[in-house]
Amino acid sequence: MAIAESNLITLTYIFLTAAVASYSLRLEGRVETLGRWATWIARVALAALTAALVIRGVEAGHVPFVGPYEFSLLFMWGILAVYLWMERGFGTQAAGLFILPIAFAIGTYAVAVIPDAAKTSQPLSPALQSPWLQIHVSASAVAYGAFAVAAGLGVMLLASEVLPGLAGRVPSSAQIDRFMWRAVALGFFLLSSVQLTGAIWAQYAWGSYWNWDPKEIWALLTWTLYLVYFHGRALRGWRGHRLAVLAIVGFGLVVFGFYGLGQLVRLVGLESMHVY
Amino acid sequence: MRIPTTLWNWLTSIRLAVILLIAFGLALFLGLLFPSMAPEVAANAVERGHWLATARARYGPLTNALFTLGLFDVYHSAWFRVPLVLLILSTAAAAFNRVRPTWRAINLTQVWMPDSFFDRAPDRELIRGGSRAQALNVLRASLVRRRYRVVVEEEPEIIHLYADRYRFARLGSLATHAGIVLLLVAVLIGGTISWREQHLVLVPGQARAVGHGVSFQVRAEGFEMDRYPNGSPRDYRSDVTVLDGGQPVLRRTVRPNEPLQYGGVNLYLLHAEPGPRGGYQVIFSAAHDPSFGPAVAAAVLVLLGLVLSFYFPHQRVWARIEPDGTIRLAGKSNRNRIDLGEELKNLWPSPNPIL
Ligand code: HEM
Repeated sequence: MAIAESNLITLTYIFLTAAVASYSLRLEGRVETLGRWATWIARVALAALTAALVIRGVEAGHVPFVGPYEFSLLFMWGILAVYLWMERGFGTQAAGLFILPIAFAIGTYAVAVIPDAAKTSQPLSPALQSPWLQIHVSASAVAYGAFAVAAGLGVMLLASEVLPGLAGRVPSSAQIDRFMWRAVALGFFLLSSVQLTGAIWAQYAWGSYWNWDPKEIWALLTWTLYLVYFHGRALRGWRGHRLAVLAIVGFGLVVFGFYGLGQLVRLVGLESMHVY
Repeated sequence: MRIPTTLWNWLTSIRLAVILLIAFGLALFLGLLFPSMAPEVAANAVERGHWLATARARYGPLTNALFTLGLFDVYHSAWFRVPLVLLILSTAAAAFNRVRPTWRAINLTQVWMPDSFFDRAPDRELIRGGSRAQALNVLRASLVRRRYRVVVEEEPEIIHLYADRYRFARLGSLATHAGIVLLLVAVLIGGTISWREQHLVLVPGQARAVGHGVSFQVRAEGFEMDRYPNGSPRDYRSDVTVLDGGQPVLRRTVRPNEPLQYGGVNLYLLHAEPGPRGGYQVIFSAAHDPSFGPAVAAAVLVLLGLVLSFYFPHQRVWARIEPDGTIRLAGKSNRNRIDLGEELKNLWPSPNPIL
């Protein structure tokens, strides 16, 4: 791993930690302190992470998506990018404290849990050299980021209903519900694109666009859960905490598909030919 | 007449849509809990016996029951097929049901709205100032800048204005639902008419038939591989000639991700291995699946529909301009209502050009 890249990852991690702290000061209303700079600190973290990914990508000659380390970095990037993008429309920085800790947890996993030996960049095997795959993985990082944002907003919505102390510091339930819908819509569109580009890649690589692979099935399951979200909202008038619970469960499925599905597959004795 | 109507109402009911989606998700999950038997194995009594013997080590006396219940092949069993087919029917019925109302909503241009509407509309705004003509001009310019279509009806006293945008985006919902139905139908049909030859062994220089009633033959001319400095493969390829009626008609380099396509058949390069009598042989797989193109087209339709539904809400704005130049604004949006409220607030330029 290049020195510049690993330094940038360390920098990302430090700034992400500072961002979580400053967003919590911000929520307490202590804007005269670090809280004032919360958004800027998070932006620096995103910039450092972007630079690290670009260096890694240029060195390897492809979007860095091979193995859990690279994908965790992409996932973190997706959360930061979608959150910072959406924050401008929120009109509040309150949501940061509920969303950035998710990126922080994934960052901790990537930096501290994954052994160093598994962090080196691997050359792409011929089957993975496809532009479809690169679009597929890039879109999935942003989709998962959007679902993380939706889940964080869901936690904020539930918290604001049970903790009276938060009243006035976070937006109203109706507003959070709207933001959550936007995040879920973005994630859903991207997840649909992820499935399409994955299917096209599979067709060119294996001759079959749908293979009943556990990863594919899990993505379809996640996608179906978000369909329940949309239809419940548009047709049955669901709002507020019911949708918040769905957004949190949906993100739970996303994370499980990523970090837990392999275990299930081994336990049950299924086979997966998915690469990450 | 009565039974079909009841059936139709049930099929298009709102509750059923949510129930079917949940049932479909549960069926997907069920399939993940049991190992699945490949169709080739299921079709061959000996292989099936071996497979079940292995499964018996894990499931013991339950094995036969699980097999009979179709749980070793959930996605081809009634557990999955029944919710899937109902989902297709229900989605199709819902889309069909929405064609007329959607078309009506797109073409409806109701300029005049009763007074009471302006008191009760979901989003309202009141703007004061200027002459009637000024008020109309400023409002119209602001709406046109935001890409609204504006229709005005002037009465001696009152000016009525109607504006809307993205009305054709209402077709997005139809595109999504119709696209999903077409996609699933394409996949289901593809499943019955496609075929796949997993293991096509080509000895370099020797032509052989592809099978499955395909008229032409294929011949591998060789196999080459490049490696990364660490020894792992970087690229491999094989030149393949297609012979139709004994004559070579096409020669292509086949790589992973770059299959050879001829006569509706795709030939995929898998790897090379030592041959049984020295030398080497190249392993391909062959597949014929005409549903791929239609399935991709249907999926693109779904994506297009999603963009229209999510990002282009059909927004309608009505204004009543009173003799003293007071404007009463009201708005309706088929989605993203809060955004329309914001928009109404910002319609009038600030600083106020009239006052
Ligand atoms: C089970 C059968 C289904 C029924 C009865 C149904 C019915 C409906 C209806 C009536 C609407 C609202 C109408 C409108 O906005 O014009 C809707 C919205 C929607 N449907 Fe379906 N649908 C079904 C299945 C599906 C499937 C399989 C998909 C997969 C893509 C889907 C995707 C959507 C989306 C994305 C929306 C928009 C939600 C929103 O705007 O918030 N639907 N559905």
